[in-house]
Amino acid sequence: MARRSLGAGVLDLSGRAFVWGWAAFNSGVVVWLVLSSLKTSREILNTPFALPTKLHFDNYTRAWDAAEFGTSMFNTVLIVVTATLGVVAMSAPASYALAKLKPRLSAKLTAAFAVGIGIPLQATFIPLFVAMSRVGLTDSLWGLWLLYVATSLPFTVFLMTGFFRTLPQDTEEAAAIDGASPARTFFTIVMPMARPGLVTAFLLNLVTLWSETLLALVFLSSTNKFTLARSLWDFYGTMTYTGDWSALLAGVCIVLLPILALYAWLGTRMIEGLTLGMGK
Amino acid sequence: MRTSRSSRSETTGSAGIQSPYLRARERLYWWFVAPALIGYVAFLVLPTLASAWISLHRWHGAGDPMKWAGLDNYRGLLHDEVFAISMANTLRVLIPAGIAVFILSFGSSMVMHRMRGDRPLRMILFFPNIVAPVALAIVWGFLMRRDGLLDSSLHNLGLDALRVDWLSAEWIFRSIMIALVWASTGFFIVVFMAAVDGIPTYLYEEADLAGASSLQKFRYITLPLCWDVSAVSAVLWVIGGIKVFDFVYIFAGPGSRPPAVQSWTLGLYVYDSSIGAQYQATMGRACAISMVMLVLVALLVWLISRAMRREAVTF
Repeated sequence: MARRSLGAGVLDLSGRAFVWGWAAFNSGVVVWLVLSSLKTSREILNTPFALPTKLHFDNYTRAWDAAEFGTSMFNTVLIVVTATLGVVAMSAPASYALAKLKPRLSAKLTAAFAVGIGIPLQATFIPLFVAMSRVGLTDSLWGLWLLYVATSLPFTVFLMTGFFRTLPQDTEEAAAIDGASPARTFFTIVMPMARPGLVTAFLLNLVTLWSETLLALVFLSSTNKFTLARSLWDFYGTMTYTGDWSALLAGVCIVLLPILALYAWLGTRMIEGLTLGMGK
Repeated sequence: MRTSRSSRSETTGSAGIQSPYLRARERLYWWFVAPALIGYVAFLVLPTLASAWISLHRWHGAGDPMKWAGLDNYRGLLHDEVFAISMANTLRVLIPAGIAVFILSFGSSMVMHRMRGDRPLRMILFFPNIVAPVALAIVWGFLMRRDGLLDSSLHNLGLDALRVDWLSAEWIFRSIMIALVWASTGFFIVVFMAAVDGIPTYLYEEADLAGASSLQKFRYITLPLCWDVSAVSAVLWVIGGIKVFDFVYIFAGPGSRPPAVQSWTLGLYVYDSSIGAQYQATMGRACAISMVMLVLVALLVWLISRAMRREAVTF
């Protein structure tokens, strides 16, 4: 420490100031958003930094009714939670097989899944839309569910393959020697050990799908099937005409606050799990 | 990888080549892989091939017969001004904004590595990544609009010289790039921090004993050991950056129709000429643009892996 030059010290100090300033900015934006969602539109425009003179919770009821957030909240929770469970249930066995069962063939398959992460949705949604509209799966929550599960597969398989590789082999071999079938070994021995990885994959997909807009925009057209992000999209369009900024910001809060609460609770898990499959 | 393979071959040797257990494992392999593989092929691989096929046709969507057009859609893009703008904007996201994200996230993780209590800090900086881009775009709009938060802050601080119309045609895409850099850097800080945390401390201790300066330690320990993670980060940036669409659509426009073309990206162009078309969909062109996106990703990923591999040899 004593050898550190003055220049390095100044650099380090200004770096710290920058990082803290940035964190303050991020927190400030959230505080501003929540406070502004309780103001009148006039206050938001004229005195953007002032505290609300009176707490207007009616902004929330107005937004809730106008954007039909009740319906879209129900749709989002239903479809996002079940799609996330679906993708984890499909990816866990696949990743286990890729990581542990047949390494030689699996290297190519794992790479093939990884390539899927790089395919932009724009390269797939036109044929998907045409094909799915023929079988009545457009403007359908069931259709969106299928899309959410399928498009989340490559990332989830990639993440969990990395995770299963870190698990020790000896427990499985011990189970095999004891006469457990491979399937039984997977369900009773490996899955409980893999719980942290499953939880991380679940959380990361949950957060991503909660915010998903492109597929919801392309595939849904009736408001009673909208997800939250999709409702907010249309609500923004309406509010730019009416100029009801306070209801708009209340709408943003309605979409944001549930996921923010989840993040405050389990964010460390998400952040630490994110880097599991990387650099291996 | 290697150790698990050698332990497997030992089991094979002791149990015989075709033991019932190994056969059961083999069968299980396909039962386990098949559902994910089928989903992946049906919903990602086949549609991508279908897009490539549609891109060779003139087609206005369902009800209109597809007409073979060869490479006409691609040739048309060469003279398409909107395509040129969208392409330039996408490249601005991928390269200059990507470099800014890299410098900021790498620099911040170096600083944060030496700080106590950096965990809550990581959480706060990562936070924009969990927010729906639509929500980010709406809030960012309040920040950047005329008389908005930024504009009035600058005015109150007496910095009127720095005030610009952030949403004007001239500035709009720069504003978008600033927002994207702000929103994504936290993700890469987390990635770099994990890499830096993984460097064993004895390396630094030994370097201290050898009398290395902090610059030398950075140059000969930290930088080379972050090399692989930098390559992965660059790939992830390209994959994420190419798709940028919803933030731009909402931030730069009124939401009910697309924004002015100055702010378009390739992702937005695909949407606007297909499902989101205002008048008539041009599916062939939309698919051709999406193929350009795909080739761009492949090309950049290939370049990144080549460039990073060659550099790593020098260590």
